[in-house]
Amino acid sequence: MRSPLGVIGLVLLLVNIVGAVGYEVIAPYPYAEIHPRDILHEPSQEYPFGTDNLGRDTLSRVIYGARISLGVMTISTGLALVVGVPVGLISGYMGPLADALIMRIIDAWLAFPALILALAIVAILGPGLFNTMIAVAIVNMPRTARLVRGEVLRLREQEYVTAARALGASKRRILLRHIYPGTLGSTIVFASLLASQAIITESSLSFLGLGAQPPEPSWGSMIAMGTRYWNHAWWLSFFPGLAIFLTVFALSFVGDALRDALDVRLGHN
Amino acid sequence: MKPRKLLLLLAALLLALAVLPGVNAQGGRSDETITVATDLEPNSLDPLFGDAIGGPDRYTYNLMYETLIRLEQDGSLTPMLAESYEVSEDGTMLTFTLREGVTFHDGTPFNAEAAAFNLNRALDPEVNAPRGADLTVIESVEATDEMTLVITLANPSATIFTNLATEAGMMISPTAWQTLGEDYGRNPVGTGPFRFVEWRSGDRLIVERFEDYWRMDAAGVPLPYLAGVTMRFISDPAVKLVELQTGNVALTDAINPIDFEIVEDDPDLQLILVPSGIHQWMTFNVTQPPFDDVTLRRAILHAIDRQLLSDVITFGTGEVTPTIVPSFWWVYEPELEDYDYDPEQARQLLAEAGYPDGIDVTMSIIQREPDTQIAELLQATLAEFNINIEIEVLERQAWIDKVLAYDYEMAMLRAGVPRPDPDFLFGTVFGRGAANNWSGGQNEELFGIIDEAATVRDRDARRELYVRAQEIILADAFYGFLFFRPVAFPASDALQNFTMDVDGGWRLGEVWLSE
Amino acid sequence: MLPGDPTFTILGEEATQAQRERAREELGLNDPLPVRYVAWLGDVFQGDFGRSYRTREPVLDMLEQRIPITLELTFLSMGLAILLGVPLGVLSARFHNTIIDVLASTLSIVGMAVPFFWLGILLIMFFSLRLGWLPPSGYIPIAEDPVEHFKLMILPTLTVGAAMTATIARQTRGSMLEVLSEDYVRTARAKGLRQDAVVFRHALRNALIPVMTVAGLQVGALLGGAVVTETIFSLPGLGRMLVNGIFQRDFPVVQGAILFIVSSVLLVNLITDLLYAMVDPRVKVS
Repeated sequence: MRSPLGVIGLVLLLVNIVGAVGYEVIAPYPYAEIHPRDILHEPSQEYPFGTDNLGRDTLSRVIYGARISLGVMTISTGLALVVGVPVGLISGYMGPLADALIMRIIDAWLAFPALILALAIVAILGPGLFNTMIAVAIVNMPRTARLVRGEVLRLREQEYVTAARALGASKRRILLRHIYPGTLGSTIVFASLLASQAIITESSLSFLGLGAQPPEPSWGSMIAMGTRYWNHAWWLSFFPGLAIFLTVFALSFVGDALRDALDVRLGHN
Repeated sequence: MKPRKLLLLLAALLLALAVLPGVNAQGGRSDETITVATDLEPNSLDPLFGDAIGGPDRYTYNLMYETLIRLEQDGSLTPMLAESYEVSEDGTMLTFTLREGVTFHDGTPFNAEAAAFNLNRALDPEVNAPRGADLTVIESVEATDEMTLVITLANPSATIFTNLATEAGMMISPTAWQTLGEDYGRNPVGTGPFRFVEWRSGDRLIVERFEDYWRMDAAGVPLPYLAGVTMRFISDPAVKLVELQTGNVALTDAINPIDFEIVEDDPDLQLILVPSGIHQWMTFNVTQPPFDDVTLRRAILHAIDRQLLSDVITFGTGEVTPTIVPSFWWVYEPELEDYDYDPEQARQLLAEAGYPDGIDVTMSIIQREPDTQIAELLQATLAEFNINIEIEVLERQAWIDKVLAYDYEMAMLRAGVPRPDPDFLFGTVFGRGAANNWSGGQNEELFGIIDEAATVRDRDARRELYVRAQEIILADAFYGFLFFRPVAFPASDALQNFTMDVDGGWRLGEVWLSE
Repeated sequence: MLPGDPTFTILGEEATQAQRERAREELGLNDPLPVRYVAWLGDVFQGDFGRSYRTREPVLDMLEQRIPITLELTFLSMGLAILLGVPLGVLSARFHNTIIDVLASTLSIVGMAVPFFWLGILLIMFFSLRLGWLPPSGYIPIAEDPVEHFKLMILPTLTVGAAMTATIARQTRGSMLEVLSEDYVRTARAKGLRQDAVVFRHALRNALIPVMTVAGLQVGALLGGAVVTETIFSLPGLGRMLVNGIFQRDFPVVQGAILFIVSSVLLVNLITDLLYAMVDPRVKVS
């Protein structure tokens, strides 16, 4: 990975992961600890990102928020891949009937804008962080499947696949041994796109009050809470938003760098 | 102004309103239209489908609707659509003489038949109106002649006049109801100072002066002074304040207490204290362990620093009172023995109740502010006593289902106080068969006192009863009373002669704007 | 569809069980879910979208009032994205690998990474609360006061349009670079055409095809963005109707709003395909 932007992205992402994993060690205060004497305290040495309406340290809450965001991102993206990749493989290689059927379903699915679909799912399942994860995963599954299918269609005409077929390898073997590894590159790059989408969707839902529930501080819900005091405490909305921004920023740099490194070209997804 | 003075001012305001009946407006008719803002949009403009008594729907309803009588801050009744009334010896028959020459906005005349139609509509099970419940004491309604309405009650009631002065007693045009049916709620027709023009849902409601309105001011100038009112629905308190500061809006409902001072310091704005506010409290589920044990309940109450809660949440504008009754309500009694913050005693009682090492409890709350903040504060402060609170945040519906099924341990409550009549609070929460018996506690002695208080008409005697009720409520410790937070409306300094209902409902019919 | 009992929204907390039961009966809430859904679908085909549980307002009336607002926001945002994004992308490509390109590219990455609801809040904090230049929220129909109307639409448009502007700029840059490296452009250049003329006359037209596709695909995202943005700016559009409907368990409202959004996305996809075929004769509409 030689691109400087990629390095910046990777560093930002590492900072995020360190925060999420090491919250207990790094955060200056427990995220729920109140300081009644320091209500809406502006950023200072004691509280670098200021405090909220209960005197809780915004920095600590932002760090804890990384745990929530990265958690949702990892689990929902993982789930989308676990379901989406096999579906894409089957659709691309198991014959026209399966393909037609699967693609119909996927197209119908994709008619829902991501955020609207996530909203609808959370509306059905009920608000909460767990349901948000499920919703994000469901939103991203068909996108993953479609990407993988496209890759399969491209790869199955490649010479080495034709050769394997001529040598009498089974469909299953060709798919798993020859085609699947070929799709990995683009899947990895695509995963970075899904990951940033997961973060945006989770924070949007939390912002609307449908995602993470208090007292758990998610970046999205912190921004929403901050708007109650935006004429007194700009920092309440500013820092969590900055955290989302930098994370998405980092993911897109890392994605670009991965794309260059793996020499993958993605269609419009 | 020091925030603490707010409460004093509030008391002074109430006194002033009681002493100065009908301040004469210096304004005259103006062709001005004002824009006001509130955070909650009504579900329906049919008053029978309004939210709880004294809820924000009243701001809108008061523009278009009137009642037979109006309840004033000092407890007196002003004749409105009724010129006078009589109560029979046994207290079960009320005879109203109605005002001549009043018409609805659609030209339908207002008479005894129309009034009877309205009250019967409220009681009609087919209509299934939520506010109908406020009139269930009525047995029958009859128009004995063109302008005489006779209401027969099932039993004497201390609250019927107050109830008739709220949503359930607002008069709508029978013609409109009959022709519009299901669409009535979006095309309201009343007798009030303003007539309905347009409701852009999610955004605003527009009304204009009703030219044939019956009321005049003392100088004979026909009301209302304003040419129209636009009611905007803005939920963000900070945005409401900006709209006010920029002059887009002349009056709004509650804003954050933290902003009270900004309004006070702005020469173009005034802060209008509302005669009612919110009491924040909590309930224990006393129907099962662990909180069926009064010692444990008392231990927890002694562990709560109510002054700290009040100061943090209300930015010093709140007050801590022994019970749910705020200091300026006529049933208030300062000498009641309540639970002060006493860590020593809390620990001792906790040990006595069998929890020397602390206890884990769950507190169910509704997702709204400041309830979540209060719960988080309690969680943080009670942790010192090893009282570990797990906060369960629910949506309102789920919360009600859970709490009224007594499937909870502790829960957070709020109540608008004072209410037009104490029975509206005591009867619905602490009384026999109360719809909102959150704690599940049963105390026959308390029920008896509250039943009695609802029928007695002498105010001093009633006060005695309600004070005694509060003593029992405190001794039972079914509930924890945390603090009262006042509500204040910021308004443009030009807004003149603004008055409110007992529970804070706006009366814009008499308002005018100064230069 | 939604969990929870809408009678609490309709009747309030203090209603009795009997009243609730009655309301449920009237609304058909006691029927099993599939029955309700099929009944709703049947009604929709006959043009009856039902009424809001909460306000009893016909959902069709609500849609009629709110769709124009959301569509306007979407079109303004798309207009902004194209008017700003395309030139930005062209500039980037024209001055490939210069400081202009780096700046423009960075700007578009920033635009894509910034969470739009946060951007909306920053815009309000800065332009409304701090500077007092623009009103923070609300909606005034264009017929009533055009100036006020557009003043109110500026911040929401920026909020929704920022990400799309960035996407379009990036896409334009990419396809311009690609087209510029193709043979016929090189030929044109060799013939002595001035560089700028080449860029504009030949390359842009071809480069715009993929840009258009991306724009079409983004309509869904724009509508999604409008949902949250309308909530921030108190615009009485479709998005706020949907979000409020979800909070209030107002099924007919939620279903009506989603039905409209999905149909419009499908329609836009179709139109994009048709336009694509018109601009590029190599594509056949199947």
